[in-house]
Amino acid sequence: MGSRLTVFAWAAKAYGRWRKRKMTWLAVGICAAAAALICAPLLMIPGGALMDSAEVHRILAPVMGEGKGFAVWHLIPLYPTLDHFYRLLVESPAFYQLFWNTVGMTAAILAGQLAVGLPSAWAFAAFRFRGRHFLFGLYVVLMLLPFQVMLLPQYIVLQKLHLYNHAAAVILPAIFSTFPVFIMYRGFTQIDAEVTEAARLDGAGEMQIFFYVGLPLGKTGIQAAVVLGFLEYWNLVEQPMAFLEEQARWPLSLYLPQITVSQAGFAFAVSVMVLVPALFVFALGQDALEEGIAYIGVKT
Amino acid sequence: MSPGGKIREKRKNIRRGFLRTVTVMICAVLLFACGSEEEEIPMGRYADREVKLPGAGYEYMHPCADGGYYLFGNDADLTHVAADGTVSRDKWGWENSANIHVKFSYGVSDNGAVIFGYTPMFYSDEEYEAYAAEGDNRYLYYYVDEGGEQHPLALYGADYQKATNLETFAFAPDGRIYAASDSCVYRINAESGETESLFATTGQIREFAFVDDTMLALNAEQAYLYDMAGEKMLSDNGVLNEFAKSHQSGRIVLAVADGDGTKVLYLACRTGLYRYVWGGSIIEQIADGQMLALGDSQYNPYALQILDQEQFRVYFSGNYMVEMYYDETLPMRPAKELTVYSLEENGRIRYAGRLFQKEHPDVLVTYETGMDGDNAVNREDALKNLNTRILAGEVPDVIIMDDMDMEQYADKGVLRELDALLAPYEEEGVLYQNIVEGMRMTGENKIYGVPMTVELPLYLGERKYVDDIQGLDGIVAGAERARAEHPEGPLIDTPCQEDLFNLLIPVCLPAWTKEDGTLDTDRLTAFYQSAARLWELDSEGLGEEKRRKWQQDLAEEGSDLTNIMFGQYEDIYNIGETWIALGYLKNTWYGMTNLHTRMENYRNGYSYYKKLEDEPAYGRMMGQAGNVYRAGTIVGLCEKAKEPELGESFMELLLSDTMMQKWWLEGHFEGGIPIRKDSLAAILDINNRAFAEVKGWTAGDIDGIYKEAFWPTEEELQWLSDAMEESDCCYRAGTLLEENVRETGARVLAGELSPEEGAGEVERKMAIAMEE
Amino acid sequence: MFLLPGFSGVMLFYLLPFFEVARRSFLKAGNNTFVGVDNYSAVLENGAFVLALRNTLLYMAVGVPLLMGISLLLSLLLRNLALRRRLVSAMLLPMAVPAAVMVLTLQILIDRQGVINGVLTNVSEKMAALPVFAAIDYLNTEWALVVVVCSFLWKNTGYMVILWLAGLAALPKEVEEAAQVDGAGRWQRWHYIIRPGLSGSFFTIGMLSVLQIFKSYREVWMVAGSYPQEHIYFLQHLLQNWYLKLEFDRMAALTVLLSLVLLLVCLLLQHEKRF
Repeated sequence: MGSRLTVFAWAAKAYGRWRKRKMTWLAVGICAAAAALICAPLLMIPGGALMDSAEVHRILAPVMGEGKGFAVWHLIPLYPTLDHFYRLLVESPAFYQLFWNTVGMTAAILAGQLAVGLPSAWAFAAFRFRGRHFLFGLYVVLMLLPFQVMLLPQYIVLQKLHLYNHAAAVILPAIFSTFPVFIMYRGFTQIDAEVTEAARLDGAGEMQIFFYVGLPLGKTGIQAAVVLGFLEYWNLVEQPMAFLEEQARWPLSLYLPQITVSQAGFAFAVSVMVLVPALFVFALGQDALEEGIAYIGVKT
Repeated sequence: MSPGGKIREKRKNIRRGFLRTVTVMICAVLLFACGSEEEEIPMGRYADREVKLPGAGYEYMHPCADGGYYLFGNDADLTHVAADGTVSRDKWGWENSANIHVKFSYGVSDNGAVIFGYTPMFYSDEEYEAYAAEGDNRYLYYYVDEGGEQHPLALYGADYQKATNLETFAFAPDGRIYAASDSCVYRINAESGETESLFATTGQIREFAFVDDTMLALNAEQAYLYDMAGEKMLSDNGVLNEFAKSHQSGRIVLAVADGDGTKVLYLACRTGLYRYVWGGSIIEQIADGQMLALGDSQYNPYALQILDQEQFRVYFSGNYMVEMYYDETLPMRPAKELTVYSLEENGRIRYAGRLFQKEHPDVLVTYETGMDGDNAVNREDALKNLNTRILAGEVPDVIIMDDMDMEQYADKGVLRELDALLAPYEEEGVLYQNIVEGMRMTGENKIYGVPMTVELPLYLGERKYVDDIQGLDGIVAGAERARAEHPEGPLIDTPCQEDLFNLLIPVCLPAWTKEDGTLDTDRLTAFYQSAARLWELDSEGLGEEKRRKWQQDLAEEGSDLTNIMFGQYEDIYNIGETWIALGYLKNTWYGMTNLHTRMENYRNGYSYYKKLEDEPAYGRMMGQAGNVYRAGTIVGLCEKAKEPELGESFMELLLSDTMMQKWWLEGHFEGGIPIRKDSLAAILDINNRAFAEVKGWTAGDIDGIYKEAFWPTEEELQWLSDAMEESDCCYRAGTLLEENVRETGARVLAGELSPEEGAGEVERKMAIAMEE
Repeated sequence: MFLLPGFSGVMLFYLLPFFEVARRSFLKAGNNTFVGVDNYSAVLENGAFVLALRNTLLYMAVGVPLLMGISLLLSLLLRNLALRRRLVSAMLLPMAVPAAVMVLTLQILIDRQGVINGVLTNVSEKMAALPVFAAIDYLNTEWALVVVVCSFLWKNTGYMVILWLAGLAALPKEVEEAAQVDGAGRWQRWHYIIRPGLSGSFFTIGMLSVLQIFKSYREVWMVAGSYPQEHIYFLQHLLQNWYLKLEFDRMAALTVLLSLVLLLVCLLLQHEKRF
């Protein structure tokens, strides 16, 4: 009797486990499929970067309105060549300079955003002051304003501050962007008011609460802000185009040539070189960021 | 009050205080920024003047210590110009039989010894293949001693590997020769050919300088210092390294002078002339490149010579040399600035800017272009940037309106009305007034821009195909006739759809707008019908695969299929390849319509000439519009210019005979026919020796000129002058209508839309645009 | 005190410029004479504005819920997976690709002679049972909006997944686990624990989706030009074209109107205690 019961119990448990695992696999499957679907079109890029101009031309001619038939894309080039990479990495020294410009610009912006945006977000989340709602609403609206409209007045301000054509012309406005405030605010609001209240009762100063309680608990929000900020600023196009006159100060995103049939292969190569470092920085940065936040939380 | 309330109260106070401070700070900054700076400008700065060089074809200059210099190049003899200006040429003669194909990378010493690298000539494919199979594409070298005696140099050495090419030769004061490959610096023994590597570099060294026993080797990354006596590297010089890294646009050239007991290194590059006391910690700028030939991005400095402490010579790419001298009568920095803007780089304007700068030393001429080079900035981005500046009140003084919507800028009050300024020209009758009048805007009946040059639409072909091809229908009919007789091959020279539009739109576009400003859809439909038929006819004899190949060949030549520039394929010299040549006459200099020249007359001729079956004919291509001309370099002045007078005199310069003729004399023949009657006459004058000499075309026997010239015939000249006189309908690129017609047209030619549907779509899009 | 350094910058680089925009909305571009509300009435009476507004609202109405729904679903599935980090990074890839190249890949796919039409044509030719497939010109027919929405989803799904995950991570794990122990099913947990916990994130992510809609303009413009098919003529096309025509006064008026509406929506939502 008893043994039969245990067998049943075991079977039921096993079924439950199997069901659970199946669900997990299903979830993995769906997500992986979604990720694959999203990435699939991008597989064209490395392939295109390795194709010689003739092949790219043959493929693109129908799309560019030259020739009949349909475009057929080979993921693996028929005649692979490193010409485009050679041209980019060996023949154009400007590439490296622009690359480091991008790195510097992105790093400065992200660091600045953290320094400035974190306290602001904390202020909105932790304190109740008059006009908070209105001010926050203002922040949201300012975040949503299209750049096309802000271009002119920002230009005037930058001109007045003698910042036009300096890297700071792109960096400073980006640092004060209300976007990271908005995202990090979200992370902070999810902290229980009781926790901060308790800390306050324990006699912790506002600074201490911010560092001890706010930062570690708002971690995910900060992380999201940095990740999304990174993607945004790595490929920033419009601001540097408008505020940086000198090409030597440009970021890599402006190096991409106008896409035409004869330039397409080269453009693909450029975007590979934009993409790969981004992935690296991204992979490394995410870990570093997590540790960094944990570290700050512990130390202070 | 609760503790929390107190804190809150306190915080509020702090916040108020802070807000006030911030506001005050912002205001202060803004006020400071607005504050004008009125001060006396001190006098004295460097200026430059061009040095006439004793001939063409030079690519290299070696400055001698005594103030003379050597010139050398692939197509030129070694020439010495002494300090007093005496020119002597070393006619070697031996190198004609020395199997030299192309010379590269020269080095010359103070006493006239020469070292150069070259690639050999191959007389048969087998010979070349044998050479290529060795896998060693090294240059070969000659050393010519000061007596003019040549020694083939067989370079060898442990570190001198296959495929190493030496460039940047330099004769050191110790008599030895130094050179650099893309990764190493070498010392060459000219007698034995032994080549030893001294140190590795990242990238090719472009410049050597010798300071006592120290060799300075410079590239865009770093300054290498080498102790020649001790045969060892010296530690880096941070100042020079920093300089190299921060001046990467264009080359840096070096020269060394004796100071008071110390050596002084001079460096010249785009940004100016610099002085560095050897061993010191600062490099000081002594001349600003912006006001000198140094700052001209068209030229790259190749050599720097110190004449005495106040004067310098700079030799540039393009065989151009200037002398820089210190002028105490000039203000240190120009008091005024003239800003000229164009969407794309325009050589004429750049050139005029230099002329203007010379005439007005107190003015800084700034020429800005919206799009330059291959980058992500497209036309709309560039226009947006320009508009930002205009809206912010930083209006340029002169705008070149090519490829911009002139009407819009006139409507918004950006452009200045030119009628009054142009009145004197009309009185004197120096310009083709019909062309100036063609620029009149229909709305307000005023002129806002005037072109420097025009291009005239032209057809050319055998009489039986092109006879009487007035109007668009005539062109189609001619193409039908030609196709009937020649079932194979292309008819008109249009590899891409884009090319067909490039040819046809200018002569039709002015006819599409009705008097009330709306679109004439009937005419547009007719245009699409004709264009589609022409494309069909052309494709019939070509086939899909052939067309693709054709396009691809063009693409590989580096030209752009989807964005072919006007003029790339429409020059009228390829009659015979195509049966009906349509295009725009923009050169007057060789044979004009080219009808009377033949293959055998050209040394490096065109291989496409077929024998004509019938009498050739030519005439003005007519589309749907009347006597169209294509305006180029359209000069507009700004209403709110900061320096209106300077803008006016710049326009005067652009419209002057000097500018219109001189530009041609400088050897730039492309880009249209000048609208000044006297300038055009001078250019067409067969006896204009100066002009012939520049291009090496002549009717006479000027030394060093080897090509026969084919001047336009009397008949052609008469035709040209008539055509200029009757052109009254202006076509300007860059309008919204054209953009839409092109975009939709591609789909009409592809058969996706019928001509009627196409016209309908354009009408819908234009309706949205009108509503905006 | 925490807010001030940030606010001073916002003041300088955003608020001050915004006031300048507001000022110019009452002036005539070009000669800067005061024209009152002329610009506003010019905008509101503008046929192109009505068309653009309608299209933009439709785009938002379709794009925002789809994006939020899909990304929420994915992040719910993802949140307990070990592979989470990798998969999210993969989904973010399109964000890291320069816009011009992204547009090119899109063109290769959806052009009338592009890959998708090619594949569909081939399939329909091979299988006699299927009706003959006629190549569709996606960008120049009613399909245009579908293309735009799809590419919007393609680019932004990863972005929103990150945000949802951030929101989910902040939910107290213990409560959910306790509920699970108590026998609460998936649906119940979602209904009683997760959904209320995410209500704040809804607002945030909704706003950011709107932001991304505005930002997707450059790609749309690169694919279809300044005057695209009527269904994908958005407010930004209007703004851009005005800018090119130097009509900043109208742009400014439109911006002020737009920000007033947005501010109102924001305050209303806050009033409702939605976040």
